[in-house]
Amino acid sequence: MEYPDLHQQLISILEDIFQVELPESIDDLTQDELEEWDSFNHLRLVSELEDTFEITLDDKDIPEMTSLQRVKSLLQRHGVGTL
Amino acid sequence: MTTLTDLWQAGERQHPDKVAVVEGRRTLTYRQLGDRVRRVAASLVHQWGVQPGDIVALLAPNCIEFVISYFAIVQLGATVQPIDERVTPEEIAAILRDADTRFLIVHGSLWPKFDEARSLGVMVEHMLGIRLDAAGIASFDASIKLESTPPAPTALSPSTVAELMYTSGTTGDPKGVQRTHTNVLAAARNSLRGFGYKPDDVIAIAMPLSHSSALNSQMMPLLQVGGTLILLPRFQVTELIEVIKCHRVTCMRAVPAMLHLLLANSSFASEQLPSLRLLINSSAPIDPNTYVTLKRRFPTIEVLNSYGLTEASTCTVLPDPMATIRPDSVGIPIEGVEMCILDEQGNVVEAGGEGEICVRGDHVFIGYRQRPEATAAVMRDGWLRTGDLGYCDPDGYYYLQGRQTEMINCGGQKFVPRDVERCIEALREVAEAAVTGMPHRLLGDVAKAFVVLKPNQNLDAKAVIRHCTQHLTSYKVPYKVEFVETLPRNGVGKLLRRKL
Repeated sequence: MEYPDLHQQLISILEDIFQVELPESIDDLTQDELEEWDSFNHLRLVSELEDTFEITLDDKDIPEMTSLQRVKSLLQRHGVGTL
Repeated sequence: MTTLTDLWQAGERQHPDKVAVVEGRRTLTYRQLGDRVRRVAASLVHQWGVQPGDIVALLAPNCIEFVISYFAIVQLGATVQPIDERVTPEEIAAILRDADTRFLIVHGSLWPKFDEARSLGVMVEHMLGIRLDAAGIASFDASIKLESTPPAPTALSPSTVAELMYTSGTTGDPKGVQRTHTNVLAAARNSLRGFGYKPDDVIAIAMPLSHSSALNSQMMPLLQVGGTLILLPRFQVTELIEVIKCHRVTCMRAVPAMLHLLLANSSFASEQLPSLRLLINSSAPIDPNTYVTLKRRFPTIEVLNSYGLTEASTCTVLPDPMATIRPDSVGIPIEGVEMCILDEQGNVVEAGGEGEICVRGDHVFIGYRQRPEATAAVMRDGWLRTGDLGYCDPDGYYYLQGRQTEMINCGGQKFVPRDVERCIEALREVAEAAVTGMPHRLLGDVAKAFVVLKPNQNLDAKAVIRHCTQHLTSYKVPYKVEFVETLPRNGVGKLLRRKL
């Protein structure tokens, strides 16, 4: 499945979950930089990604999703869109 | 006064010509009530052979015959088993099976429902029909007219089980709550002390008499004090308002859902209903804003909040002066009721600390019928562990926070759904919300919200989640939001989370 606006979609998901405003031009964002990115919201991010992109993430992938870039890479591995 | 028979006999003796019960155009004085009770009791003995210890089910809406039947059954040392008219035929069948009920008094309007329960294999040996013309069913009216020989006096003990009332099942299978004459009289006494019912009071009872609040905290204390009952077979806003005006009703007790609907009608106000002097919230926590609105609508009368449960009816009262100061509290224990907060280890929690609300007193039930393990699980050293979570402030006021069994355990973080519901209900578009746990492969449970919108309002799930994210700690934020027309509630308006 192709998601031409994947970057924008990811930003939108992160904004919704963490309740922050992120510039569209942002290249990366790490878990350490955002106080709201706690363990519960991290798992919420997992659920939201699974629902939105209709994928199932492996449990071992979950701790690795510590930045926007890593999330993108993970989605690519699951065949989500082209970035 | 040690038995329930003492109660109606005292009324008969002290004010025989005063109206005791009104239903539509029918009335009964205390003298007539006593006469009917004796006749029906005689009929139950002579025609059915009812003995002390027998269980007689009563499936009827609020009506004069309900009151007569209740006192006739308990006068014989038998146990009355009121059945909520709004339960399903399957639930009726389960309740009658659980109690091995052999006798039933059934109202014509509920006959089809009982007939359906019979098709599920429930057998009852004897049936008495109220306003029911069906083959093989004895007539209630005919029994009263036929029977004039009083039954032999029964040596009633205060410890005899008077009521067998099934819990609303908000936590699972229905359990038969057994209350003795002492328990019921103590609950009535608590109501008299806490709510201050007076001999001139006229109460409109729109809550089902099959529910402990209507029975033990409305009907019983009013009859004990010599007041008048106005029975409504169902709750309907305009009908209730008309009844209040027509009968100059002075007091009323209602669940929050009823109060919500009443407040939506502009006629439900002090100036329109000048006879009202006392309004009491009952049976479920009321939203503080609604409570304050109620008080503002009725600024010059007493508006009370209270707390009780089927196993211990009428425990607290929030006095009227506190309505706008502590609208989120259920009040202080009524004289004769002991309360405390215990932690999970059974230790008493200091003021302000959260834990399980525990209650002790003569009004606390004696146990679940034939369920010693279930009884032992909630009764310790005379204290009833209510399963309700809350805290007590330094001034002795109690606050509810939800049910222990409703706790959502999200990744080891436990919380009560009510926290989330309150948050969602703060949205102006939302009429009400209910939250329950849903399985999550990583967290165990996460919150799922069911939201009812106000008329002509729009809202999407993301907006609800966004609002919760802004106001709640992360683990309480719902993962899913579903919009529904109504929330599932039981016969008295209590939310049934297990049906979400």
